[in-house]
Amino acid sequence: MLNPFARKPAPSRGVLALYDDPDKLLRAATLAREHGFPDLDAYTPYAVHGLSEALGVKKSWVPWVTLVMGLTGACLALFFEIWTSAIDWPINVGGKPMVSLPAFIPITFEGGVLIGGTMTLAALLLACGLPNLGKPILDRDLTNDRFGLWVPEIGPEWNEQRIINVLRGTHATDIRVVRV
Amino acid sequence: MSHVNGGPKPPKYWAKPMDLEADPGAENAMQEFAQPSNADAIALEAADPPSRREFLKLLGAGAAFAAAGCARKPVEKILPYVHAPEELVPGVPVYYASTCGECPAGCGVLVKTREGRPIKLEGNKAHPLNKGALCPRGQASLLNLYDPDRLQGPILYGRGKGSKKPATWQAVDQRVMTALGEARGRGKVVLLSGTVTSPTTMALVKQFLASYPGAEHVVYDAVSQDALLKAQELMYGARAVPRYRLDKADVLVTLGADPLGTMISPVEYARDFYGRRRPEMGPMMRVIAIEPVSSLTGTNADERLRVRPDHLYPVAMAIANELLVAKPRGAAAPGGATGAVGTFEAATVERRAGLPFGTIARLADELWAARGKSLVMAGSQAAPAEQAVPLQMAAGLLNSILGNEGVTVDGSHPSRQAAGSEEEVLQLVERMRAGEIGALLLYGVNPAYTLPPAVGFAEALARVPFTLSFADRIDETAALVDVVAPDAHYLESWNDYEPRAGVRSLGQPAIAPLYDVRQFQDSLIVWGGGAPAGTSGSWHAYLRDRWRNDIYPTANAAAGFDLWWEGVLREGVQVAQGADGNGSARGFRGEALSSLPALKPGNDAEGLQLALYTPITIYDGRFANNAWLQELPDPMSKCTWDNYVAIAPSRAKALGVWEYEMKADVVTVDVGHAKFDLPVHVAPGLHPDVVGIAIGYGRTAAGRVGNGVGQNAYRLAEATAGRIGMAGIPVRLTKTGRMAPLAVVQMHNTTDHRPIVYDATYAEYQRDPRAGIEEPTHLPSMWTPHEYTGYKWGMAVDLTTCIGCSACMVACMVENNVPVVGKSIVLRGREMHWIRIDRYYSGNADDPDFAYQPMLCQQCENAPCETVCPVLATVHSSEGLNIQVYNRCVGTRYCSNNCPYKVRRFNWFEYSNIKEKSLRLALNPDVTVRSRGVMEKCTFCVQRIRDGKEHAKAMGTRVQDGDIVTACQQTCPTDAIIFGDLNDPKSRIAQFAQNGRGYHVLAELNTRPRITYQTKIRNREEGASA
Amino acid sequence: MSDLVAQGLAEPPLIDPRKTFGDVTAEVSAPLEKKPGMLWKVFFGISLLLTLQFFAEIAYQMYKGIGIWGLNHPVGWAVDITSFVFWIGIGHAGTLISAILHLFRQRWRTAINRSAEAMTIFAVMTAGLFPLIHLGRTWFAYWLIPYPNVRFLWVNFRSPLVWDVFAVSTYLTISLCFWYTGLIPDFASIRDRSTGWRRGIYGVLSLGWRGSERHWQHYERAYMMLAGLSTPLVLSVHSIVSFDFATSILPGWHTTIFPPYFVAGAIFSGFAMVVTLLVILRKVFKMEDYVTIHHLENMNKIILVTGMMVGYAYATEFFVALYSGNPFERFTFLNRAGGPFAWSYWIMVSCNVISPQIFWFKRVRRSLVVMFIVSILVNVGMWFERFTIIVTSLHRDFLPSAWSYYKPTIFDYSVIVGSFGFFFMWFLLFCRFFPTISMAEVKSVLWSAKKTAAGHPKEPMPEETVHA
Repeated sequence: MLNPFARKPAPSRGVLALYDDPDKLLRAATLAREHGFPDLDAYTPYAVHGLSEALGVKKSWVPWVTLVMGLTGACLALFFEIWTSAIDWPINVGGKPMVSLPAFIPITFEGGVLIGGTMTLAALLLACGLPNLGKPILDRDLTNDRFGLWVPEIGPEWNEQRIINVLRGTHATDIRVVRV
Repeated sequence: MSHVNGGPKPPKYWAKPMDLEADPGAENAMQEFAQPSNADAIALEAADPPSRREFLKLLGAGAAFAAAGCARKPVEKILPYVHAPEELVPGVPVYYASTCGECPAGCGVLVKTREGRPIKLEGNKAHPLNKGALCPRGQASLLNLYDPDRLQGPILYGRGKGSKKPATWQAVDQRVMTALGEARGRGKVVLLSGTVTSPTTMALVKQFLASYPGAEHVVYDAVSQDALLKAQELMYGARAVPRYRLDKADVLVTLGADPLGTMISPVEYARDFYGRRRPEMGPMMRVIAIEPVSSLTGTNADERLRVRPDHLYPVAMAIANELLVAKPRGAAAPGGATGAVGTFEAATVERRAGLPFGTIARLADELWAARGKSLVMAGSQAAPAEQAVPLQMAAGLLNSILGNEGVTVDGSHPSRQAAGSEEEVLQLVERMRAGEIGALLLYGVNPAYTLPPAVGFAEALARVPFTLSFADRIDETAALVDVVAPDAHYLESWNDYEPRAGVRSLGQPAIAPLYDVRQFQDSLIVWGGGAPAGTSGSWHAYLRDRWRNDIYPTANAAAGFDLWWEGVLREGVQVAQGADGNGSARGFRGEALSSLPALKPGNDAEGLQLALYTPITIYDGRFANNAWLQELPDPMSKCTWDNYVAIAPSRAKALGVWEYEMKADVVTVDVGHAKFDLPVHVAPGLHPDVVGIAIGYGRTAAGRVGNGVGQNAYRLAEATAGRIGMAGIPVRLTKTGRMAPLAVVQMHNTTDHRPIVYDATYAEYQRDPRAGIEEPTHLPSMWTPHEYTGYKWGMAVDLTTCIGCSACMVACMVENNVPVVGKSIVLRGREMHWIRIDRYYSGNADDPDFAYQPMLCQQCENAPCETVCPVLATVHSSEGLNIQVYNRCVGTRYCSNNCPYKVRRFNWFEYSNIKEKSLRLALNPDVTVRSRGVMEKCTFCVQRIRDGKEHAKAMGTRVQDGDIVTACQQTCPTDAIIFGDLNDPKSRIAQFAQNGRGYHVLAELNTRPRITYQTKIRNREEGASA
Repeated sequence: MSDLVAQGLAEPPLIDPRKTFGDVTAEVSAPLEKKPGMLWKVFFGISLLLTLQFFAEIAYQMYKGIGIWGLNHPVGWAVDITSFVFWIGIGHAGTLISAILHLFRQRWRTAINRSAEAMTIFAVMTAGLFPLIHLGRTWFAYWLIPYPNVRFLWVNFRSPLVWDVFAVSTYLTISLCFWYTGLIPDFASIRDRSTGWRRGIYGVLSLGWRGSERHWQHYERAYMMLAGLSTPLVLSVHSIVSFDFATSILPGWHTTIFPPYFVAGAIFSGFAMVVTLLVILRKVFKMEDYVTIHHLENMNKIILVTGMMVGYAYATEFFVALYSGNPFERFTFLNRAGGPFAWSYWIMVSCNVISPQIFWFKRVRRSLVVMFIVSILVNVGMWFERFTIIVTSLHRDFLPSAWSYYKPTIFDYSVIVGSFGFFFMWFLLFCRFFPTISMAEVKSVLWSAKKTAAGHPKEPMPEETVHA
């Protein structure tokens, strides 16, 4: 997505199909994708491998944040050390030069990790729009032992019957229309 | 600037106490000296031994004025001057020339006062004896002034000796006058005092005694030179200590004498000594010590011969025999000498004394080779009682045989520093017992403690109708008298001293008496029937008048008396013409030799012999309540806060006793008439048959610091035939099986061949000045060193001249407010000395060589401590000082861990708030007191550096060499410490740093220390050991 | 296949394939939903008491001074820094398990990483106390942080202690991030099975996680990134801790081998601690099905390996000291093995090098009793390793005149036991209120276990059980 922070108009309802086994979900997802239902999503108790490909979800941009922020942190730390020890108030400490580079490396590294790490978590929350306590739970079992496929209402030509028909053959334990 | 290097400022002196009261400064001072409230007094009473530790903690440097800058510490109430006295500028020290009155040596001092408080004593450069130096005891005597256990006023005892109540001086005077009056009938009035070197006081005493018919003056010293005096009397007719001139001696032989430590005039001797010991300064003196216990002199000797006390005399005589009989060298010997020495055949003596064959012949040769330029000194208390005088005569005989008489032994300028007579005091006790004595006045003596119990002084005292003590506290003797009339401290007193004929120095008060005390002399004037004719009544006037009448005329001064008097006060000393000149030989009375005993036939008694010695620290016990000295490690044993049974390692093995990591076996010392338990200290260098124990400990009424520390060794002494025997007493040691803590500050005594102390022989040095030094392989540095363009402070420490006397340690404590922590904390390895004297043994374990090494912050250019401090609390200054920023320190102790010299000291507890008011007055306001949890260390006396720089600035010049003198350097009797600017090529330090003997300790660590040590040169033939 | 397992040629399943996803959620959340058992209460009570006396000691020390400890002039550090290094070391196993094993796709970690990470955090919290209380003036501890102040004075970035400040705080922060990221989906699971205030609390903790695939997508990558950061971090932290010694000039400290040596030691002690904790935890909270003997055995293998690494380090150190020809260095090591502190040196060697060797035997490796004892021994040994390094090097360094001995006081002991109390208190609270096993990850493992098991007629098909 070009602008990760752009909020789409939230769909008011959608079809939720529940499965008791990730493989069934995967098959259903592939099927739904073939029928061209837009903005598919799935809700699972753990990260099911291959699901994002099946749904056509784009790769995450979070790692870039880690890289950029990590480097920034390291540079900041190093600059700060040099500025304080050599520029702002140079002091002769144990006959060492004002810029004792080898001694400055450890903190440079820690600075990188600190900024990189915390920013990664921040980025994750941002990307997932968390914290987000208001949004209703589609089904309580989705964080327990159910795997749900979610086909949201997009555009005027959205037809819930058609979707249900398509999904009926996918051994879903339950298919329902959920208003959000 | 002059006062920075100790030169006196125009002194301000008080004509009489009245002037003082007129002086707002002093007035202010008086406020500070307000007597403790009753509460304090009660607390003071309540103090019991367990409370000593608490008390000592408080002895540490305190908040007081210095704390004014430090917000979190309780700030003392400080009063501004309403009318500032002219001479007294707040913040600027005023120096008064005076004389140290703690021991009869009478060294000249400059008393540094700030806002009316004496805060430091420094030697008076103008004084011909100590020439600017002081001994550790002199340095520490300041604390005696502020000792909170001093009496605050006179005390009257009830007749039944039961009740004890403070009294007014009027009451005391009445009581004394009547008592002395009555005494006329009952018996003699006797004044028992220690040696008094003050001629005026002696005059006054005579006058006083004259007013009581038959009254006598008996002089007694616990550390006695009686044997020497007696021998001198027998040999030369005059009972006087000759002036020993070490500066003229090429060879010095000591027979149980300790001239550098405690004998007669240690500082004077040490001054003369070092001038002949620094190899750069011409031919080096050779020192041979023949002694039972290792004395300071012995441990600095080039050759030490361990000899039992009872063999000292035979050995001395054998040398004479060698010179006169065995191998006649045609020496001019007094008649009868040959006969006297006849029986002392070298081989026999050597065998019995356990000396290697030929030793005596060799000694004789060496002495003869240096005839006229050699010196033999014997200790008065080193030999058994019956041999004490003979030993001194043997020494005298040797000196006269060798033609030293009149050269190194100068009888024409006799010393007045020792006059005590053992005979007389013992007779006195007899007469007291016999009831012949009507009244006894005790001045500067504590016989109830120092006399052997066998003498029975206490009982005898009970038989004297009236007894009075001038003690400044209720000591062991003062507890038994009728009246205690506390004498003032010498820093509160007017006095004069004549330690050597013609060398007259003055003592002027640097502060008004802290308490309601009265000077001894003033009391005599009152009791001696008022002021003598022609004096205005006060002792000060009396003193002044005597100088006007007796001394002024001889000085043939151009100025009028008043001007001249002021001048003398400024200088502190007046030297009569020729008083420093060369001596002339005295005629030796040959007949005296007939009294010399012959060599005892047969073999000597087996078994251990006791040798009581005088400790460097608390001397005869008079300093027992001085915490600075109690915590000062004994130079030889490195032990604090205790005396102990010193025995040779071989003897320890034989007895199955040992000492390890501050724990020692306790043994029972039994001489028959007395016994007690004491921990052992294994002392290499001791004669295997000798047991050495220090006197001066085991006080019961010294004060909260000194009471119950160690055991009273005087009890072991014996009194026979009019002599007090301190050595050669047969003693039995039995192991108790108990262990006791021994607070030693150095537990490992060898360098393990590490690059710490280098030494070489004189011969090697003459071939190559760098002899003995292992040149370090210099490691390349990652960094380019910083430049020091301005001043570059550095120090040199000469291990050859350093005698380990430890005066520097005390000077440092006084100057830098270094806290005293007490035995229990020293036992935990937390003593706080900024400079310490490391003592290393080398060579043979039973008879090792000693090396003393002052160890202080090395001010490394690549300081390992600085790199590791997280908060920049220790950093480097542009002048190369390793700065410790107390108020930035958070106390990680990382710096100390990373210091290869382990010279950093941590404030484990709050040492800095002193509860005892009087002790706060001793603080140096120029030095911050350190609070709990911060690291401290030697600063090169940065406050003195600042001071010096300010003065230079005021004069618009650079700091001149010698303007800045560190406290340790200032007091050093042997000039072993030199401080200065390394960037000034003409400075002494620069020259020293370059001279051949210079090296850095642990140089291979590449910390680039600013302190250059000079190799220890031993004047002996065989290759250097260690 | 099971016969292969029997022969030890194939990995046994990490979890019983007959379990359902529902079972996992139910069993893991169980301890959170019912009242704590007696055992928990007893343990918690003890650790609470120890913690209280710990803080009492600290308070007294603030008031009286650091002198109440047995330290003296050569020995400026002892129990304080020893415990600091010890606890930091303990922490490392957690990060290692969660991060490094994650990168290596070691799926057996899933059952233990949660508790191991928790251990890391609490260990670092405990460790963090020591640099504070070892200060002479603890109330100024914040001076170690470079903040603009009226003195315009910064800190000394050349000092390893400042490096520590950064390393430890970074380590704690990142570990927390990592741990919390892992917790989010599990909080969601608990939220969705609970009601009332519990639901509220866990709902907030879960930040409203709903398990959307689009979120899982970011989540997986972020988790991977954090793992990637934590891996070098964990190595750096103990290297930096070792610099406290390695960069000084003290013989016995000034050694280049220290960083790897310390890291190995840290992992060693950390795994021992994990074993100690899990042996208890799986018993108290009946987690035997998840933390299987197989998991414990794997950890024992690591203990064996790292134990030998540490032993190798001891040997190298000693050899180099003797071989280098540096008299100070040589003396220090001979003094360690034969000096007044030889006892601590030999405790260290026997506990760390000899005792783990017993794990060469499979039966021993799988015996709970033995592994528990050994893990305790290893912890003791590792504490003494740090003690030996610190105290024996300090008490006899360059100038023999300064040599001394170190005797701990009652307060030193109080600090040691106190730190353990503090650590266990937090850990027990964690067991009580947080899912001690990562449900989401275990479920994925469970699925693959079912897949593998599916090939076997003996095993029932999972579907049947799903609706049961």
